Amino acid sequence: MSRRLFKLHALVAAVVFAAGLVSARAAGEAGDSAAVSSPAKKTELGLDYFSKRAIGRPAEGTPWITDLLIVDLDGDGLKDILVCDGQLNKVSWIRQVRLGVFEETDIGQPVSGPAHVEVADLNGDGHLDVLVSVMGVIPPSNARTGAVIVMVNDGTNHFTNKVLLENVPRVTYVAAADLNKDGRLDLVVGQFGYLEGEIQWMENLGDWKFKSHSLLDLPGTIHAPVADLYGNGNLDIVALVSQDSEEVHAFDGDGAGHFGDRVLYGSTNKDYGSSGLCIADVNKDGKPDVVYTNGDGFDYATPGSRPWHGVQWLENLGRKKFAYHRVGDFPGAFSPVVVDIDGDGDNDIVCSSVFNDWTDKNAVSLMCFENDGSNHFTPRILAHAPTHLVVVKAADLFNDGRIELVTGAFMFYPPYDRVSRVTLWEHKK
Amino acid sequence: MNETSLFRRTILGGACLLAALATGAIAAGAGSNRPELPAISRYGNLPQDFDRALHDAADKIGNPSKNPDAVRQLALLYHANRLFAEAKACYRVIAAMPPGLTARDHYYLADIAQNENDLATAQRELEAVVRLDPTYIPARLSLADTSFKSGEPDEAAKEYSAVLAIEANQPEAALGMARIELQRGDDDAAVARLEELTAGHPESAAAAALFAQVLDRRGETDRAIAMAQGSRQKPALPPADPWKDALLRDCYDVQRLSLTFEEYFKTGKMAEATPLLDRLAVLDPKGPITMMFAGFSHAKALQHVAAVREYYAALGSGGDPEKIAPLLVNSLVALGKLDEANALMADLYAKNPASGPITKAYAELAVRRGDAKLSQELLTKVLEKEPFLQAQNMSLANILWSSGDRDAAAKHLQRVASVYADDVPSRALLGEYFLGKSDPISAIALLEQAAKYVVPKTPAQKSLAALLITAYGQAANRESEKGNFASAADHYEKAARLDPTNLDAFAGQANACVMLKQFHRAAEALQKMATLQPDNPTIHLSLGDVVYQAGNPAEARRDWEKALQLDPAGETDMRSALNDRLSGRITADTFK
Repeated sequence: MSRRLFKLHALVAAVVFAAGLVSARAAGEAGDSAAVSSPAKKTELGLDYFSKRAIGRPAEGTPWITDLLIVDLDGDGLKDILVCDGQLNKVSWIRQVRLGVFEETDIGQPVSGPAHVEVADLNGDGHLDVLVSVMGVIPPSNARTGAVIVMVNDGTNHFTNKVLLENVPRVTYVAAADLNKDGRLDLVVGQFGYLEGEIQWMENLGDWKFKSHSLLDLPGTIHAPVADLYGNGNLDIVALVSQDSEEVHAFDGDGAGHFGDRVLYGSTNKDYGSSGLCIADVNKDGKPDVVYTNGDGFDYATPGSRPWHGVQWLENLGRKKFAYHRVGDFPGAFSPVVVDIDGDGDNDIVCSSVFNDWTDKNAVSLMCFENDGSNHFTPRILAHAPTHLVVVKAADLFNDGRIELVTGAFMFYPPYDRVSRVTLWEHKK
Repeated sequence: MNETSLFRRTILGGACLLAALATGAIAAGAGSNRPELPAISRYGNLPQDFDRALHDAADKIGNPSKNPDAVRQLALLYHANRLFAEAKACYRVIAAMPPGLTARDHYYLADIAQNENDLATAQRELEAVVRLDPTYIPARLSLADTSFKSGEPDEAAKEYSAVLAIEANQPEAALGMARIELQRGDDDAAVARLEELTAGHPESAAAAALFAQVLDRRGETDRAIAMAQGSRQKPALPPADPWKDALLRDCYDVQRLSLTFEEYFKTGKMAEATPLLDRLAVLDPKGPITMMFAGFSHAKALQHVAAVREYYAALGSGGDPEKIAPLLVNSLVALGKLDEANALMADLYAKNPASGPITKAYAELAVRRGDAKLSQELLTKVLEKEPFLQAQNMSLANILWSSGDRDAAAKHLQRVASVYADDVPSRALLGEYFLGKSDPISAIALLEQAAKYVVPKTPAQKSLAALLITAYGQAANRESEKGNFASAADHYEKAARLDPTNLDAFAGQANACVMLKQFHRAAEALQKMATLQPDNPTIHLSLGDVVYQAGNPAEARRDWEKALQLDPAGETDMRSALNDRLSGRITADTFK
């Protein structure tokens, strides 16, 4: 109950704030205070919540955006978007050149099947480098086409590819973190592969030399982010492993580069379709939780939604215990993001859908599971189009305290009647 | 999940009530706390056939307390169609009457719990199954899996061990144990178990895949690659689970039937797949997926005329051309209807020029038709988007090779060789390419890799060996010219090992060994030459020379005498040389 009251307070505060802004403008234009009341109708989370516009290159053919990252790459105070484009085989930078104005340029040299992008100052020169997970081949393949590439920033926003790992099973995830507390950024690498694959961490020995340590001998890694799960000051790795495993693994770190493997949760359904994982403190209890989606529906002749697709929250109860909660069903669910999208003080969960039944015009491509303040979630449809949204990212892009979304589309199976590439979802004015 | 199924259903108020009263179902628990059967409803997401089956099942119940098997049948019908809340309600009714739930009932409740992601309930239900029927292996495996996925590896290990006690080396249990051993960091135990498992069950693709990865991590690359070949085979049949299979008989969910059909088809369970296809044909006769699957089945049985008919029908019913066209083309090609296939693909490609699958299928057809120009154009386009495709790179490389542009071909071959560790054809052709460039060392590296993976006693192995012999010979000659006799001797020896009848290789090896003053090794080579050509006096002369220099003059003498015997009226120079030796006129210059 107390959380509900808090939510109500937040709502009122937001309305007053908005009313004040509009009131001043309206009074100036019309000299009429009657307009003050109209903005009091706060937009409900739903189809009208955002307006959308394409940013970057126009969509041509059937785009295969595989990942996006919102980051202020050039440190100019404006957030930009990094794009992995699996059709063009490029990583590009949609730079916010002025507030709300975006221009796209390629960075580094072309890479085959870029799957995931992160940034880190790997060489400690004060500039953000771009870490790219390379699949080589995006559709299922046993070929050892995987690679980890860092696009090294020379400080003038020119990027040069440097290969850190190659000729391995398809790489779908890489992130940098100092896992052994030696002051150097190490790497966590997820090799999805196909029949074979693994998760490893690559110890940074300095001078661009890395030593690999295997964590799991299984294929299917989707994401493997790093966090201090237990508040003991040591970084742990949480990995979502799909294929036949469909498990969430926690690799508990001791801070010295040793990791124990535990299964936090797994589905017994081999077709569960694990598709995305993020770590965030959903219930704001100070402990990082795990949120993951299962919505991959590519594994059969009929790609599309499955009745078991949806979103789940593994609540961190402390003492290495996690409780499973089904947040909700969502056909084709991908790319979970935990964010207070409506500014009411609690965390909501946004996700996109790539494997839905797109012959149905009512199929949902963007969904928000709205938190009622007591961590019960209600699905709110944000969009039916564009379709095939494989990734959604959220951030306050315009520094106005409100959350915008950016989505990327992976047009992998028909119909192709609501095509997009990269779309910005901004609050309606 | 309960909420979903409830949300999906459309209750036909009055009609429901009437139906329920007619069956006596609702009345069974009226006015008491006893569990009740669910009201019979109409479910919008399921076909009318299901509706009829539901009413039939309900009609057969009569008084539930007297007919638990009929209630079970109703539960199965709900369960099979993902109406889990209703199925559970049926089981509550069964549980409330003696003798209560059977092992099989608990198994189904566990399956429902698993579908609802409720692993704790699934564990409890499976424990009940094991208590009531400890011999039903699928339940024990399921319990072990559920425990493992709940983060309880010790509990899982107990169950896997119990299965292994019933059936030694049972593949799923052994694989589960290997995973637990790996998780515990006990690599040696896992490797031993995987050795035993893959030896006893070479059909277990999952075991081969895991073992390949473990071997690769341990640096046993060649074994890993060989094991990976085992993992590429058709997936092994899952263990028989008649209780779960029974659910399919009551399934009216077209998607579930489609997915299961495909799974059976892929694993070769055609006896199980065919009835599902028949069922799909009844439930969704005009569905393109049904037609496509019918096409699959006909094509598998080599009934391509029927397959083509089904594929065209699937396309005509709005089926996805990206999925269907490649299959249709294969069947048309099998029938020799290349022109028809070409017309079809040209049309589809014109309509979908950006489609990867259609471009790939069109390119493959162009290759089959021998249209080099179109093939090259289409393959280039395909590879721009997906540069590492194996078959497409090889096709383009062959076209470029045949046209004389070997440098361009080599780029595609290198791409394949770099990412497909066991690809033989790319390495063989690249070896030939490097031989043509007089770079035998690069050729040898590739050809030796290929030799590890080529199928023995095949024409491919023969031609690979021929290339390697040429490469070793080229390399040895080059090393000899540079004065690197040790390396030259090794190359000659490798060539001779591949072709034990190759006199040049033995001769080269003997010469190089003499230069290295390795007279015993030279003598071995010459002895092999002498075996191949026992009547050749020059070989015996040389053999005598090296044997002499190896410190065995008596044996040398025998070889020289043999040479003289073989060629009493031969060249004057040779006779003179032999006579000098046999008469003891041997100086420091004799063997220069």
